[in-house]
Amino acid sequence: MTVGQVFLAWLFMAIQGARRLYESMVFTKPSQSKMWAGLWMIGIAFYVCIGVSVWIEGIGACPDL
Amino acid sequence: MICLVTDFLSLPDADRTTDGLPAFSKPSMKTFIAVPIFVLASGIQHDCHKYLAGLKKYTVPQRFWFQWVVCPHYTSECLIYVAIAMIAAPEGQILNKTILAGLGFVASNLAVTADSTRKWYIEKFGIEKVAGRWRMVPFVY
Repeated sequence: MTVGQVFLAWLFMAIQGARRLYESMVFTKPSQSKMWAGLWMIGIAFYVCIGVSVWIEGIGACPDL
Repeated sequence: MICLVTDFLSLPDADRTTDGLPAFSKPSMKTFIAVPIFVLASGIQHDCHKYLAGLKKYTVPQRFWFQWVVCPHYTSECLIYVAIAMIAAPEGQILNKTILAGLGFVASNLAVTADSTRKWYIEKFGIEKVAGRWRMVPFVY
C-alpha cells in the first residue's frame, strides 16, 4: 500500500464516521428503544480495529522501517 | 499518523512529482472505480436515513430503493466497505483482505438485522407488504 492509499482509506472512514454522527444528531428522534450495551461496545471495537488495521496494512509505506 | 507525517517530510526524490511537490503516487484504476462507488453508496445511505427518520411511525418504507430491498441502507453500508477495500488494496490485488474481513463482519451483522426487520414487517403488516423485496443484497439475500 502507498501513503496515498492509507490517506484515502482513512479519509473515507472519517467522512463516513462524520456523516453518521451528523445523521445521528440531526435525524434521530427521542425514543424508548433499547440497545444491548455489548453490541454498542462491539461496534466501538470494530471501528478502532478497522482503523488501526489500515495503518498496519500501510506500514510498508513508512520510511526507515 | 506519525508514519504519515514523517513520510510526508522525508519523501525521497523518486516520490516527488516533476514540479518538486511531495505528492502521492498516481491514483490507480482501482481508485477511479472505488471513489464513485463510495460517493454513490454514501449518497444513497444518507437519503435512506433521512427518509427513514421522517417516516410516520409505523409504516413500510416505499421510497425508490426500498421497493426493491428491505434495508438498502445496509446494502450501501456494505458497498462503502467494498470501496474502502478497493482503495486499500495492495498492488496486484483488487481488494484488501483485511478490510474484506471487516466487510464480512459488517455484512453478517447487518444481514441478521435485515432479516429481523423483514420478519417484523411481515408480522406487523403482512407478507404482501414486503413480498418480492430482497432483505439486503439484491439477487442474493
